[in-house]
Amino acid sequence: MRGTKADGPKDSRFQRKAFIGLLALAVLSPLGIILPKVFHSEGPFGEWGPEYFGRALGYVPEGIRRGVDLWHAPAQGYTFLKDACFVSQLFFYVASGLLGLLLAGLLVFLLARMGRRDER
Amino acid sequence: MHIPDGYLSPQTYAPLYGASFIFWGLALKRVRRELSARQVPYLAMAAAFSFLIQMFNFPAPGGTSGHVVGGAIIAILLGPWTAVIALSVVLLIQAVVFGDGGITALGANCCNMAVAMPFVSYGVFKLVRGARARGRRLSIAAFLAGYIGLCASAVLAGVEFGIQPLIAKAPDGRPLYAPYPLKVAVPAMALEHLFFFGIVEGLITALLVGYIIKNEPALVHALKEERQGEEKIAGNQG
Repeated sequence: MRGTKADGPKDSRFQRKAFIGLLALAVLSPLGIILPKVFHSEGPFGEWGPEYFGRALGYVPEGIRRGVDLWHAPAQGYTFLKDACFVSQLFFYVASGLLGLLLAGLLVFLLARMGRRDER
Repeated sequence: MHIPDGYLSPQTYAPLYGASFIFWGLALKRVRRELSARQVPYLAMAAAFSFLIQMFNFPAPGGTSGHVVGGAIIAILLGPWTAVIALSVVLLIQAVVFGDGGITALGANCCNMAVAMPFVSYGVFKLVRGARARGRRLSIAAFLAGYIGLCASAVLAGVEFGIQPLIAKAPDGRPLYAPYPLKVAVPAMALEHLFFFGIVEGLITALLVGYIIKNEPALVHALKEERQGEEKIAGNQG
């Protein structure tokens, strides 16, 4: 099964289309922060920051208070500058999408290649 | 559905990490054996697709927001084991680079979204589609695969949240971790996915799977067995 067929012209045509589709998703991704803002929606259940618990319960559960400082992600919240204006956030969001696309593709590619090298 | 750090007790996240490790090991082994060189670019694109589609947060009735995962699409197109790899890689990047989902909760998030979802989706798709169905039956199978897969994964997260108050309390009786009991957390997670996000996941799954089965059927893992069956029959006849 493995590698019996070379990439045919049909394959590469479909891959090109799919890749353009992915880029389009990245460019459109700011909709994912614009829409919740327009409708004033909160985040998903169970993904609140500690300040939510202060408001809702009057205290922050100890584990959650400690959990916040466990890891500071370089692009926390899909942005690169926390206090940037909303318009800049839109650009950071697209950049995050492209970065994610790149990293996800690269990591998967490496994982899959690693396997094949083992076999030789 | 990305559980942050601090919401789960070590008694919860450690075993779920263990379960994830088992599935990662099995999945890597299987993918190395079965994935053809031709499929590798598709696996990379599948991971990128899931990452991007998860950036589309949209508002739900009731004031929350959320997104789809794309796990059913990947499971149907590339097989559930391949989906485990693609989705786990996405969750790892989200946690480490973007702080979406906790580092300690990565095992739990992988169990919910990268293991339960693809296997449930794939099972539902096979079951509903039956033998070689095309057309409407196939669309319904793909829809239900996305719908039930996402809901199952949400309910699991709800259970993981809900058991926290039972597991650990501070001396003053306050919960140490996620504070809401099962009877709050499970319905909260289940309802918004049953009535909203699950439907969107189902629709997107039906649309994309339908499109790819129509245009690139040779790529689709879920059709592989019957394809091999047909080749065998054709070979016998020839």
